[in-house]
Amino acid sequence: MKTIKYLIAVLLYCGTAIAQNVDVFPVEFNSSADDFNSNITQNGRMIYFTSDRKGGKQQVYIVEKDANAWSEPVQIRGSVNDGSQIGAVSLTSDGQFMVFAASEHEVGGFGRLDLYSAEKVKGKWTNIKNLGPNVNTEEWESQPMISNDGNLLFFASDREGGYGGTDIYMATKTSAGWSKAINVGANINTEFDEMTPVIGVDNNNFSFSSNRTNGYGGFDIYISKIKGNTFSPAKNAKEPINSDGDEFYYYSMPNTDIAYFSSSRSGGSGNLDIYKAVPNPYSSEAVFMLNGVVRDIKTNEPLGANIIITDLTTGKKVADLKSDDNTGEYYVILQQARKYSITALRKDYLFFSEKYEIPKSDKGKEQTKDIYLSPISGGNTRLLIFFDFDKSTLQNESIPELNRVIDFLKDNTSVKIRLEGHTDDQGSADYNDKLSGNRAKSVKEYLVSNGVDADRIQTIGYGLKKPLKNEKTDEARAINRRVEMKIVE
Amino acid sequence: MKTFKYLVLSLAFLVAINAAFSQEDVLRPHGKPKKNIIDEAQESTPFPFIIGLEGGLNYNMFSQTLTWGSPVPKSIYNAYANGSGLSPFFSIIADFNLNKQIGLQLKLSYDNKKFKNDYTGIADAYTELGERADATVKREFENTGSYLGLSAQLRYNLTDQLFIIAGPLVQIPIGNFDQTETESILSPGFYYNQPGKPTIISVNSTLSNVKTRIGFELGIGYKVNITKTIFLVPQARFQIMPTKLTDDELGGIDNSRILFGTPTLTATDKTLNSFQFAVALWFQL
Repeated sequence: MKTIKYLIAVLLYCGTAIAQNVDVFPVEFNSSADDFNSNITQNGRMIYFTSDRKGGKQQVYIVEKDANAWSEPVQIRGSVNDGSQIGAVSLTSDGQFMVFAASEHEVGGFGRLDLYSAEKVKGKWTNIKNLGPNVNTEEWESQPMISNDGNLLFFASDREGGYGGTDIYMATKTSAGWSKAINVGANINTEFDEMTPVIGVDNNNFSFSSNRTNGYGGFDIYISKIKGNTFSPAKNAKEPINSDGDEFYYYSMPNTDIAYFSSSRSGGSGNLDIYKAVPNPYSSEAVFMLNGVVRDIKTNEPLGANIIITDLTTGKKVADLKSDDNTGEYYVILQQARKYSITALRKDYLFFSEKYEIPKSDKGKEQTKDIYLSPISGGNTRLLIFFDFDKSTLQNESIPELNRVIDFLKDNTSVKIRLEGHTDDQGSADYNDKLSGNRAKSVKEYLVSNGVDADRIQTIGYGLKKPLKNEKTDEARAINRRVEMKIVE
Repeated sequence: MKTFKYLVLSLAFLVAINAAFSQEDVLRPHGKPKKNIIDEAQESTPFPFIIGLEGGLNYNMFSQTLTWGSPVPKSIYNAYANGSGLSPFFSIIADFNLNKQIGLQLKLSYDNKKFKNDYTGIADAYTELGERADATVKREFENTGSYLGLSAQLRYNLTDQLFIIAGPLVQIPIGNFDQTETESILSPGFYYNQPGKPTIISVNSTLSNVKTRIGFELGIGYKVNITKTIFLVPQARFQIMPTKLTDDELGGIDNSRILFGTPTLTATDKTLNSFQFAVALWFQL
């Protein structure tokens, strides 16, 4: 029965893909040389791609969308391109961290071609690091693909011990760096060449290229699904995605019906070109996209800050991203049916956290929210802390934020704080004064029990005296129920 | 020794090319196939400009229509009905890509033409007794002349290597078209005038009214990469020239056989077309 259901699902899936009238056309920034790996960032506003349009040397280029047109491609700024053959970049969703492949990069490597990482600092790609021996070998490692949260890494390698030719491998991010890379297995790899892995923004859709038999010619795009470390059997993406030429790098643009991929089919500008497919027959599942600008609350200047995404259900940090140093812009992709906290942190500033609960039905939603950070001196921030109803008992969802307070106080040992409890307008003033005071004390107790000097923490309960909102709505009351942390010294 | 030096230099050149382009890249282990590198070097310039030198051989095909006022069986003048021959040509070319598939090629040529023919027929000759009688006689002719050729042709790439080329051609005569005519009496005991006189006579002259010709050239070629920017290009072409080689000759006389009188002999529609087999070196700038 399960098999029959599976077969019906596969038939429906294939039928849908075939029934759609997919238009495929080249983008305007192709050259007569190789143009490939159209890595889309910042909600489709930028594309990083690789081209050897200048002297046959592969380099990383960027185009930005202005109104409806793409800008002229320019080589990216910084030291990423300091090597003989550079490219195949993959970026986190914020566009602030990349992994790339390079031959003979100035940083040095282990083998014929290695994987490296780079960070965007003040508009330049810098801090180049080799990903290390858990990922790189003395053989050819290339085409890294990092998941949008930066925690999964896929790449191609022709190292020994695979299924043959080039295979796709994966590694996960740990506190000590990348885990030892493993072959993703026989549902993806064959005795032929598998390469150009791409994981969708939903961390579920997975595509790659292979020159296995029974394709349309050369390298074809294949589609699979990933769950944990398990991949579903790969299926040929069929025409018009595949052709008698080579196809590589199938990228689905989040929450749209657009895909980009590279192909050597006839009709382009020559060699490998980047093509756009509409509607995308293999789109990723819809995601919640949050973006905005991190600013100084006093000067309104944009700030580069770390953006930490925490799964409030598990308490685990699921992504460590960054806002742009120059523009303060941040981009975060969240999966549906989860509860998250988004925290912005920056040295010499108080952190700020916000909760996002993404319902299962909330498909394809985008939201813009600017984050304002307060300088430490005289600063004030609202803590993302949750209590049981009408009690001062801390809920588990509060733990990540409380740990951030602990880290902040340990990093700033001369700072003294005051925890200010606030309630909504329901109940008597006396009752609320007491409740808010107890809640502030609960927070203090947690901090002290985790090594913070009690003398550095004052508490006070303001009850309903200092509402942020005067409306009598549930929304206003939720905003008014809070614990604030104020810097007093 | 000279050949050995050439081989060593060629090998060193090929090794240098190989070393320069067999580099790992981010898409392909061990780098691109060399063919792609070379193609790309060609294509990376949006509108590459090529100059070239070529040389080759013409296979010339001459024909004209001969009309006698009254029939002269086995006239030795039948030799002039057609002719063929091999001759060299040299060209310099300039080639511009208009887009990836179509290019414009301008060519300036020194184009030598040579054609000849012979015919063994019956002609009057003298016996040893001084009597006039039919003898077996071979008449030969050979014409040689040169043109300055100017052409502007469109090149269409069928594949990355194979192309066809076609366009108009102008041929301007350079100097005279020399003609050598020879008669040989093959029947033993026959002479031109009287016994003891030669049995072979030869006359040199020049063709009059050689015309500037306009025609059409159609060819096919194949580009072979020697380096990223140098190509060896064998080609085969056909020159079809509707303009006549010279004006028609009206009112000539066939006096080779008095028995049949001296009928007029008119030569019209003199055409000269050529197959060309060329080898060119193209240099992409």
